[in-house]
Amino acid sequence: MRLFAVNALYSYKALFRWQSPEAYVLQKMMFPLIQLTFFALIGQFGGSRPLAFYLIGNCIAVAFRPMFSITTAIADERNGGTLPFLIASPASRIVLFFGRATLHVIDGMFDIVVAFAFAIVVFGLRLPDSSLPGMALAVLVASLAACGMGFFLGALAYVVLDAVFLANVVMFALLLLTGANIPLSELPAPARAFGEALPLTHTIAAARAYAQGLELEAGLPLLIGDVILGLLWALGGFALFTLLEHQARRRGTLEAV
Amino acid sequence: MIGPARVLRAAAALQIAQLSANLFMLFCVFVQPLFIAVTAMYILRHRPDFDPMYVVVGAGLSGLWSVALFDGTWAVQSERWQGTLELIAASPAPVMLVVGGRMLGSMAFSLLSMVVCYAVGAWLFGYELVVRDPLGFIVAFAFGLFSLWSIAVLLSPIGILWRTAARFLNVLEYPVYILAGFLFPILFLPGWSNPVSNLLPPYWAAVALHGTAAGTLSRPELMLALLVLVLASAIDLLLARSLLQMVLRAARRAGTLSLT
Repeated sequence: MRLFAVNALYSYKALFRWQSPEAYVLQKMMFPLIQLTFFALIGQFGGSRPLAFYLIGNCIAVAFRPMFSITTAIADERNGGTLPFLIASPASRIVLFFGRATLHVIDGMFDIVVAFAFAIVVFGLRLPDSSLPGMALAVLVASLAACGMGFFLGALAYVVLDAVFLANVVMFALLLLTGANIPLSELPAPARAFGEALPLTHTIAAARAYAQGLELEAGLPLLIGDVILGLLWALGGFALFTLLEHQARRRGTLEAV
Repeated sequence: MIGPARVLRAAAALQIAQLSANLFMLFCVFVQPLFIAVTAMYILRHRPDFDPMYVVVGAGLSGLWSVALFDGTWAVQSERWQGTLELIAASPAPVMLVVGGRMLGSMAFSLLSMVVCYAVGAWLFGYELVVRDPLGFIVAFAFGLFSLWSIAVLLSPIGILWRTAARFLNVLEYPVYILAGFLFPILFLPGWSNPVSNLLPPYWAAVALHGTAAGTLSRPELMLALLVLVLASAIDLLLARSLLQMVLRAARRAGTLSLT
């Protein structure tokens, strides 16, 4: 438990190694809101869907923020020179790997809530009171599922070498393929299939349904689907990290993994 | 004395070589405009008056602006980090020329974002892309590019003089996409923001390029847009020259040309 808590705390504090308070506000909080505005306005200009379609989709997609944090938290072990210590330590890999997400999940939920508040104040998004429990659950699932993707990307960054590039590409893939801006039915079949495998796709659908008055229980299968997907991506990341660790030990390339 | 053209050419060539190996800038030039173009094509194609060239121009401009913004802000800073600012300051070639050459390379490299967006429209979506006023478009493109280059040159001393401001500048990527009306008319924005848009050269570049591509811009309207771009560029370059001199004076006085 102690290892889990310490790992979660320091992984979150590490975020502020590269982010000063003003950078936190400008880059981490303002950037997603401005990006949301950009795509919502394109959507409004396109006119094929109501503005709420784009607002809700892009608010949930703000969950890409904790994904970035997790990805860099894992990949930065190499840049910080701490990877060999991590690999040599007797600590449980599962606790080390998954403990990192705890505070980022909460931070991600905060980002999404701020995005919704922004959409309500600036664009006049209306959410019925009855939708609030479902929306709250969708916010939690979005953050959790995006963190799951972050675990995978963090491990993959050891192969691809540039975590930020990787996370940026996936951020745009999420905006394009999860239905945040384009209904899945309009995408070609392979893109649609890939979109279904991404976290957030089902959460966005659930959030839109809740906004239209769907009962909490009716949206649960969609949310559970994204929890499972997030977990699968996270386990995939853990498996990849374990494989790379095994190879690094065998080849004596701990720094490079 | 080294000829100015040779300095410009050498700085531009070096910049292009560096950008080709910079994953972040490759992202700005290739990946981001690609995703924006595809997303905007899907969203805007339902409009009855949809013109795919509008998306090609708008998404391409987003790539040009991102390069001007990020590369401009980082231009002098990177020389300092690499330990080459002392050599540049001591060389007989004016710093303005070196920075101008580097940004020339950046803007030339950023043209690839237009190619990417054209490919999205023509090949990925199979649209027939038509520029209805080719001559006007070419002129508008040249003036727009020149104005973005001037902004990049102006940003380079700002990036090192006021580092907190530079951090804020980095966030200006999307606000300019929005305020300049790259992918939707600024009429969609609240009225109070329109004067801000009118002050932005990228807005006039977008007006000129969208208008000439669609063939809806009259010659006087085009001339007005070009005039604003020229005036803004002249102001940018004059300011950049003074600020670059200020950077060198301050760094020499404080002995902080190098970080090493």
